[in-house]
Amino acid sequence: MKKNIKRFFFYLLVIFTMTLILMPFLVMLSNSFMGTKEMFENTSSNYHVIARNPTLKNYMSVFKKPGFANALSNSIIISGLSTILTAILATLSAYTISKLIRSKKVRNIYQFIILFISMLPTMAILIPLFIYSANLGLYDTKLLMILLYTAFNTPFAIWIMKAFFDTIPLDLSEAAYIDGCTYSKVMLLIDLPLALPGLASMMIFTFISTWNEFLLAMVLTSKNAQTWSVWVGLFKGMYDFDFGAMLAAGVIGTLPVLIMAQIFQKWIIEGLVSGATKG
Amino acid sequence: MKDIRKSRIKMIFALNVPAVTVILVLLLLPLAIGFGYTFFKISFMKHSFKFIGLANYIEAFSDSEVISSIIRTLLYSIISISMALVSAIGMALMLNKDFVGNKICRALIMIPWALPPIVNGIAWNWFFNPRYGFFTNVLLKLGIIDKPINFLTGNISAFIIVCIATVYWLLPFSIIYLLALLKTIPKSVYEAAEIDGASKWQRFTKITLPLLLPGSGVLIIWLAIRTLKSYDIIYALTEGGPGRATTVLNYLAYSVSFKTMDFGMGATISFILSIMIFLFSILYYRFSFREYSY
Repeated sequence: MKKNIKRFFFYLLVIFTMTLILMPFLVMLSNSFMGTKEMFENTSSNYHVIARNPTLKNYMSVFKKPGFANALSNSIIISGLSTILTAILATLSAYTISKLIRSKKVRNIYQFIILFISMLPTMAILIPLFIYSANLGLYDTKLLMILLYTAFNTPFAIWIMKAFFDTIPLDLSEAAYIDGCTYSKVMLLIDLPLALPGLASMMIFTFISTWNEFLLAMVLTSKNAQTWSVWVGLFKGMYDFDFGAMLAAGVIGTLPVLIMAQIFQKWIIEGLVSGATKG
Repeated sequence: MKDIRKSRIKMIFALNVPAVTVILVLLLLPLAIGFGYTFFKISFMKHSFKFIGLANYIEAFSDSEVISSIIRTLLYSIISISMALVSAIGMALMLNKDFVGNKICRALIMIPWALPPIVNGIAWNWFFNPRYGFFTNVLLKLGIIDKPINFLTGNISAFIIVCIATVYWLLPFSIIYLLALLKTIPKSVYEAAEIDGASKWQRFTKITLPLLLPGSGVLIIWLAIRTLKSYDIIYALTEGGPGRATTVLNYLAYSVSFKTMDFGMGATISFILSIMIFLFSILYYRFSFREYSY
């Protein structure tokens, strides 16, 4: 009996904390289905969270807003391509740190530089990037954003990949060297296939953080290469401030990453933990 | 043997060329140029660069706005980190238990992590909206307040809301990290304590906490760096306001650079921030290489 009561309170606690965690997002989600009238009457004694007459009006108006399709497709192209580029660059470098550099000193210095760069605040380089991209004619181009995100994400991606390569025992490749395998063959045929889960984890991670990035894209793009997060962020400053459409736009842009995060949850967690714990 | 060594070194260089080139050209070169800018008075419109030596630094450190932003940044970091740690420890302990639905809960706590910070800001802004927000209306219904209050226009309440939104965003990673740490504490320690008659509370304060703390160093520093760099949440929530109440250093650097268009000063503030982050990354590096045994 005592055990049952205890269990009951434990579940109550679980439900309470989970509701608390999901509340802001759930409120935003459910309010985004309210029509304009319902939304503006949704206050004080009349307040309710779940829409009484759910409609997709807000979503429709988001689809019709200028720049929406452009921003969404830009985000897909920029995040996708820069993720692929990051994956290639980071895998190659991480492999050398983990398997090929034998001197501990060199490895430690290299690792520290990589770590420091991955922590660099965007603001530290934003002003020169702004001035030079304008002068070089790269301002507001997808090319610039793809390259920049690749540069920004590569250091942390190296950090994650290195942790994964470290888990592959050296003996395996050593045996292959003795059998006369070249370094590139060992890398491509032995170590890389074993690190594939790590690669997947790193790519999902990179994609989500690129998709969510805001500051860099806000300063360096205006119309042509505007990303989705900037497009949503600028809603607030707009003339005809439309609450419903803003909430709906937030939900639309969040869905791809939320779905990804749920599907690849295990890999993301592995990547997060290994990137942060294993040096 | 020498041939193998030679080919290995060749390989190291070849594989690092792409990443190093991209990082050098797109990150380190701008970083160096940005550092150079801190010694100039720059007018973007007139395309004029005037060398002024250390004047930007002297101005920054005698400017009350910069000083108070630094203090605000530290306060913001300390409050957010401690709130995140306390709630993350509680939730990690909860999720560390076996119960029906554990897996679903673990999946759901990932949501705030994947939520784009800009949407996170929008969601919390909406949550605290004085007319249509959940928070005010619930307080009204419960009779705690009798008139809608705009929490986002109060200096202290806006600051706290920014901290809450930040904690929300940092929580998933902290929980996942702490769960991984909890796994490393051997069950035998608890069993021994139980045999010795330690109460649940004693087991928590005498075993779990002391064993979690050393490993949490990495987490705390990681959180510190994230909070020092945070920008988008503040942009979406308060835009640094009311007044300057939520203007942290990173936001100040942005608004001085791209609103006032004072690039020299903006670069200087950014550089001060980078130094702070650099110090933390040294700590992070030190901590993450330490090994613990229980």
